Amino acid sequence: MLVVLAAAGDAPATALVERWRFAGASLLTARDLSTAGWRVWPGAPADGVAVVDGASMAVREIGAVLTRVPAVTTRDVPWILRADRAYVAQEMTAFLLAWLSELECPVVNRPSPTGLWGPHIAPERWMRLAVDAGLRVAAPQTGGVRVTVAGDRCIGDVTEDLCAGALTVARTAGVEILAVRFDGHGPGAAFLGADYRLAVTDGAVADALLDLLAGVPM
Amino acid sequence: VILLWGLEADSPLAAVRAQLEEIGAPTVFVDQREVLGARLDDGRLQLSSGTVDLAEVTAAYMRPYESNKLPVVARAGEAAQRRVAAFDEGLWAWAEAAPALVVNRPSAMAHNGSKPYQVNQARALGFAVPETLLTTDPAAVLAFLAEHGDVIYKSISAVRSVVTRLRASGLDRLQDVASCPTQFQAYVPGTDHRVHVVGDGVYCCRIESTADDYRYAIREATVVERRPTALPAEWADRCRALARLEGLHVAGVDLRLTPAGEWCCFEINPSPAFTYYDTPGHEIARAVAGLLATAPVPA
Repeated sequence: MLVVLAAAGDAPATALVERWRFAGASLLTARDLSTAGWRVWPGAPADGVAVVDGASMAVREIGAVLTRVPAVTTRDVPWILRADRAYVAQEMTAFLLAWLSELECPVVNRPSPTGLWGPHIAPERWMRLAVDAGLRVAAPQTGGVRVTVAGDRCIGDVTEDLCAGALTVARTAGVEILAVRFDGHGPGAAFLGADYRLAVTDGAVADALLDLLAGVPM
Repeated sequence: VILLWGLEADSPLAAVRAQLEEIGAPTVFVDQREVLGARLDDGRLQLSSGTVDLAEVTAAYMRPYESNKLPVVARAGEAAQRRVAAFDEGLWAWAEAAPALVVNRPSAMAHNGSKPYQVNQARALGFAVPETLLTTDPAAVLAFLAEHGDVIYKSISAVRSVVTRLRASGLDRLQDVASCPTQFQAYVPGTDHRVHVVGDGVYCCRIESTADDYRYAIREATVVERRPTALPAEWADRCRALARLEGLHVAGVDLRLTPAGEWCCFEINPSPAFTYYDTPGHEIARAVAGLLATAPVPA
């Protein structure tokens, strides 16, 4: 089974799960963390029981996890008393960090104490990594031409040198999946920024992610 | 110059500040009570006491409270609160990236955001750790209780919670665990020890208490006795390794020595209130001050 950990309102994640339904994909949201059934023994992750899409399942049945959130927030738990939401969100985030970090199956990205979807990296640090990768950089900004790194694969309409730079940035940051933005398609285009918000509605990105999660050699 | 950030009345900050003054180390104190008048522009801190170029800071001791909970900020209105939040964010961003020695960087402190995550790191370094269940399942809690007989529960995250014994009177609230994963641990008997790691230094304090959580012993009308003690070298090394693994220059490691002679690790505090455990000679405060004062000048 493939698990996509996402916010309940993450429409691209829902669409991705539908696309991957044939591979046994299911959506895990904060609602599942408010459902009786979880049993996790730190130090023995495979013996646990998870709740995914409302159903209890043995953790050993989970083949891979794709994480689409940095943390559980108060907005994710509207059914909890307002006064308790911040506490519950923090507890759920802490629980997920402990659980995801111990799973023996592929988890992309591996969680970090600074973010469930990978380490929090400030824009200035991304710039430094890009410079170290031999890329030209421009002031951090949104938008631009987006490429996706998924393992050793780079998906996007840019030249090879930009792809090579994006792969190096991801590798140096210690992450397997990454969205990298440039100010153009051609040689020498400048790096604008990077984040973990992948365009999973793009079929090529979805296919590359599925290969990565399934352990298909790239 | 050494940067100190927090409240004047904060005991660890005051203790370190006093020690730095005693050795004549140059310091700049970023007083949180004056945050409304503080600015951070282009790597320069504008304070009521003057301007500080952050590039000249060799070391920093970060002990801020949540600014938005300070009365002076809470009363100040939304625009001022946004400005304060931006100031705090800017100073934390500097702390994360600065070439200075920072006690401690935000990314290092983040490990404390999940206690079971931390405890897994301690286990990997050879510490004993309590049998733990994280669950939303009341039936699993009952089974865990039946297996271990004596069970405590506490928060999973860094939110401070009172460690509490699971008693028969609490079982009627057990259905509540379905709302949110909750952490249960087999009770570990023994004697608490708080170990402070400061650079390469290790300072151990033995704590005698019959309370479930000695920090709140007063609620159980029990007495807490503290006295400095030597930690066996092997375990001192492991405490150093644990702090290093998390990237912490100063850490408070909560250990319990069991009757079987095992050292059980519960948590690593990245911003320890060490003054409660310090010796009359302020050994730990002096060590923190020494660490800050001897930090190399960044290239």
